Amino acid sequence: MFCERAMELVRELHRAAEGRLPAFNEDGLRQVLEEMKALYEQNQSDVNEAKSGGRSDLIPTIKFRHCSLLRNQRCTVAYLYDRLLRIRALRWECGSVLPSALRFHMSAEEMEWFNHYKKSLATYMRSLGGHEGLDITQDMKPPKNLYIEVRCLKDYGEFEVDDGTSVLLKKNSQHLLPRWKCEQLIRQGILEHVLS
Amino acid sequence: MSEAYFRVESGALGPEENFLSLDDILMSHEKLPVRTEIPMPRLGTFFLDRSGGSEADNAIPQTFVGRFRRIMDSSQNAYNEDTSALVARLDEMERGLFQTGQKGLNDFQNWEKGQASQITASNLVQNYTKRKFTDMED
Repeated sequence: MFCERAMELVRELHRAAEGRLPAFNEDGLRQVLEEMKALYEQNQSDVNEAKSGGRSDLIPTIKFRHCSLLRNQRCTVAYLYDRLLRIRALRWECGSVLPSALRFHMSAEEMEWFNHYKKSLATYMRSLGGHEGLDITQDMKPPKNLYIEVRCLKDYGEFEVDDGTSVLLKKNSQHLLPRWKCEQLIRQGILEHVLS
Repeated sequence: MSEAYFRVESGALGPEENFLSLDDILMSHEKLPVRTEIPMPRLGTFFLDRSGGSEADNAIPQTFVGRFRRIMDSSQNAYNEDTSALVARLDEMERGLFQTGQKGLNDFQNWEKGQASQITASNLVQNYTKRKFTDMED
């Protein structure tokens, strides 16, 4: 049946647990486009025959192929769009530098899109709060304190605090640090927010 | 679960499907038995098997209500338990419903414990860190 390959793309993405980005299925996409090309060319030829050869019995077939083309188009666009939604989420979850494993899952165009999105977001954030700008990717949960207690989950090394001094983030060490400095590291799984 | 991923919702509860909704595409892929009223030449082997017209099934809404009630009940009362027995016989959409119920329950429990303001590691990052080690072992 037509559109099977396109449905596989949709299923693949639907199966990926909320938000996870599977590798870009370049082969699958190419096969869908090939099927669309074949359907289109067959229809072109049959339309000509229906018009000039008086073969109006071909019209149901032409309509059927056209439906399949539209379905393929819908599946492809939905696939690409849903991937972009997941990629957009990555900026908010992982920050502006993506883990290399993820980068290999994206096509070149998707990477370009991500870079544009990053820039748009940065421009927008700079425009907020007068001349200072505002990092809206911080404080995703309502903050209770300026300083928070954190425990280090992995060896990270020297970490510079505001007044120039630095702390050594060694596994299992605990520190009282400014919230805004730690938020990224907590989201990356390097620090753990300890509640007293 | 990624908190920043907002997929295109199904239009099933509204007047029509959402073009870009993966759920709607899968839902509209269900097969119906049909009869070919007019011949469609040149489509090859696709139309060799024919069947009669389809029959409406009035039991479908009833079944759905029953299953939905059970899912809601179990998802709202299973806290910090092994839920594999509960979800084993559910299909994809139902599992999604169950997860939504569990998330609501967990969020509420977190809030009760005063953990609503605790910053947590991103699930997405944790999953990718795990996978990296698996790749290295191959």
